[in-house]
Amino acid sequence: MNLVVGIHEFIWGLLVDWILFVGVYLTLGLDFIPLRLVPHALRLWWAAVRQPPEGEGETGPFLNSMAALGGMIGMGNVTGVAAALVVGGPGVLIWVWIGSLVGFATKFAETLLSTEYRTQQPSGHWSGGPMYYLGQAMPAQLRWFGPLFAVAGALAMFGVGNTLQSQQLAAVLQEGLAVPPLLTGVVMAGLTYLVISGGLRRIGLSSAWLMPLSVCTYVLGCLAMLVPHLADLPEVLATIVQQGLSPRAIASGTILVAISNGIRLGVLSNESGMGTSPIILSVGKPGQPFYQACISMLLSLADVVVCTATALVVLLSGSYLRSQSPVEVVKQAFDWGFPGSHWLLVVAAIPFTFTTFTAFAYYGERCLEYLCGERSNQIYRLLWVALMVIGAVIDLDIIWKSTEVLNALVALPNIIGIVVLSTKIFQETRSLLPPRLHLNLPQA
Amino acid sequence: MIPFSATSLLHTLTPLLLASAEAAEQGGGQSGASLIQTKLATLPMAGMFSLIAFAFLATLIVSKLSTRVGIPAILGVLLLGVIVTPDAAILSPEGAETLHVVSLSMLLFYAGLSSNFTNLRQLLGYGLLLAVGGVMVSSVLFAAGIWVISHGTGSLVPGGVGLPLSVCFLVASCLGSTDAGATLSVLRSVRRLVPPHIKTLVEFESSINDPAAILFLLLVIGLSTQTAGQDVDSIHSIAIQIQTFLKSIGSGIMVGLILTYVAQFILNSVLTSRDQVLVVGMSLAMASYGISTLLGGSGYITAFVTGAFLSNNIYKNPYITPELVENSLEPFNTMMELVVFMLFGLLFDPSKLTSYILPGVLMSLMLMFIARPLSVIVFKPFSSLNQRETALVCWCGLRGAVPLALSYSVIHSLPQISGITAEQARLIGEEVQNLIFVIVVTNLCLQGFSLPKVCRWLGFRELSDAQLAASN
Repeated sequence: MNLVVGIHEFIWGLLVDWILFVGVYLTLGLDFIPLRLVPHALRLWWAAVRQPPEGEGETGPFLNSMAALGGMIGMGNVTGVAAALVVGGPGVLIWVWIGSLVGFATKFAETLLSTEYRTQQPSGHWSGGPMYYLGQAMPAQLRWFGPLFAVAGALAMFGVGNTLQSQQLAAVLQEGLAVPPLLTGVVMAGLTYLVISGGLRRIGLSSAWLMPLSVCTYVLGCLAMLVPHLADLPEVLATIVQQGLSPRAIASGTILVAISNGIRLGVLSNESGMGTSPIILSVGKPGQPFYQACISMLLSLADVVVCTATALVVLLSGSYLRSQSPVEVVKQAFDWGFPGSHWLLVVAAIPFTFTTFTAFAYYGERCLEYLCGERSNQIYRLLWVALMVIGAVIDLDIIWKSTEVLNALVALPNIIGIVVLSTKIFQETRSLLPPRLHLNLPQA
Repeated sequence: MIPFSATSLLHTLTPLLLASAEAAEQGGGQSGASLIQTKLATLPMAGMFSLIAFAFLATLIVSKLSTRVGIPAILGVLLLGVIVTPDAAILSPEGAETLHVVSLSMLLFYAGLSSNFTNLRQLLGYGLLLAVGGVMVSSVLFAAGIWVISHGTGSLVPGGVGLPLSVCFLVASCLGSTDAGATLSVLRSVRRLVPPHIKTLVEFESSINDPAAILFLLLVIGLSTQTAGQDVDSIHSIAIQIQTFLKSIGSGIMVGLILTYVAQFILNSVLTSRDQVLVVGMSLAMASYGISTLLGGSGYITAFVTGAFLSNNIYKNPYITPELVENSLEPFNTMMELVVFMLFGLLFDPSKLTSYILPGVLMSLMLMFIARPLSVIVFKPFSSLNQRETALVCWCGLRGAVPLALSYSVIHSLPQISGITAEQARLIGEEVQNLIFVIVVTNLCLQGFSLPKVCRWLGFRELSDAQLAASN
């Protein structure tokens, strides 16, 4: 046990840094193009909602982005934020933003490459993701990164997207509504199987019902809680800036805690560097690399918004000073906003977690498919729901810690691959850039 | 031209001005103040300027003379520094510390600039292996050698005992880095004999093994201080040390990335004339050390990384040509190296040197004849070099400024090392400084003096003018 925890701490302490470095490298190497493309991406997405574009792919941009968003937004955007604020103080928020903004470039690059190297399976459906570009675009002696990513991915998804989520959800429901864990596990597993057996289209449809509703309700709910206390907002913002950036904070060393916690959350919350969400994003219509890459950044943007909403409520309520447990902090903050509203957390937890189950099932399934072909899909789905039930009932801490180590094996080949392919990414992005955007880049 | 000359003058003068100001501060109080020092203290500003000017001119004359004699130019300058002040108390410890930090980060920045990966082509992998692996192999071997020699000759030195093993490792890792400037200045007299790819390889190796030696030193310092008083869970603490170590490299690389971007932006959009490149270079070298140290990274690594990224143009900026970087910053590096060696000479206290000569020379021989050749030969299977070329590389391991500068880092970290009291730390510090000085001087003398002869003896044929032109 100690050994696993040790390895886990060792690897993840470094990996977050490296994911950040890759993000910084790509952001600078692309001359901030991804960040400057966000308005363009918003226009693209909105146009696609009104009239879905034609092209090869599994689902249209709307269903596609909702399915991926379902995987990205989870309880980490709620309790994870609270945990970071408890440890790092208000200054964390600034660094969450920095970590996330840097992640935009990583996400952009991953999706660009994934879409370029996506493949049509014999039965006609499309598959994409880091394993495809790692296996095809890398120099010959590094092509084994593709299978490595797929093996680690197929296994690691069971931890971060399955047993851990299942266990947390069961605990929340048992505490909040007195639902027995076994019941939670069986019902969730049944619903999940219904959704994932229908492929990406059904995953997208279910997320398209759940995500806009729950995310909007959550964010608007948080904003509504802030409205009566708007007068305190400037003061809180000043504290955030002061603790996150001021020379005094730099001198006292507290800033290092804020930086490490903030960046960690910012980097991990939107999965940049993990290479997971491009698995969904790359197979959407119209299937043009640049288009999909633009859409991918909007998800990161939504993710930051949800994190910020949680953080502002927690900071204004001051609950992060009163409790150490993240769940307690969020509950107290909600009670401060609207008395008696802590059950909102439970209500948010169900859709947030459910969409994570379905999206990560798809990620793992594609990884296994890359290794064993399409016949493995049914087996993976059954295994997936079986582990959901087990995860809900038994505390599998050791297992999910081990899969976190595997998670590192997912992220590592991916970020190395992105660095190796960075020249290609830089060139392609510049050549694909629509000239009418007038981004005023240095002439090559 | 005005900004160029004004800033370069200012920057090169600052260390020496600082030195004289420090001397002026403490001139009166020191009991053993020498004649020169008291004179320095009472000098007016104009006098100080002329003195500094003459010091610089003297270094040039000395380098010319030493090249004529056949020893590396920097050795001459170092000895000049020692001769000029027989008393070393010219600088306060803090002042000396600042100067070391500044000069070392400048040297590393330049080492980064001269590490051009594209020049090396098929020898790139071997060059990296030789630089990184070579530092480790030769440091470990050399540490063992130092331990044996210092225990064998322990009765000769003032401390009366040999160095502890951890200190041996520290000294050995200091001396891991080779000096391209020294090697090339010697090779210049026989440049028709040396194959161009060997010259590129040696230059590349010596620029990469500067940061490699510093990293190895940091690792050794970290590991030997961590073991103090922690008997439980030592694996855990070693893991934390290694993690911190890797993190400091990481943040160094990241700050390097950001600064490189800033530099490219300035080179593209801010500069109005080419002369200003030098200003950009110097500010970058200092910023890289400062920012990275503030953020908890390794400043020297950042300086190196920034230089390396800039010269290898990682962001594919069309404006940055290697010639631009080299022509604008090379004069600056020459200046820096002269200042550094002059300063080390000034700071060094030769009064206790005599008792360290024998062990120092023995260690230097051990370095030249055992540690260095073995560390090259170990990696021979990975290279395309033939026997003669490998032999030449073995002999091209001249030690220069970096070991001298690092010796101060070692002395600073001595009190934190487990099992060393403050009194011992002082004695050992003195011993370490003297030993490193003797080793560097012996090494520069012997290898520098004999390198041209070795070249001929190994039977390298003269290259024609056409071949030389093709290589440049």
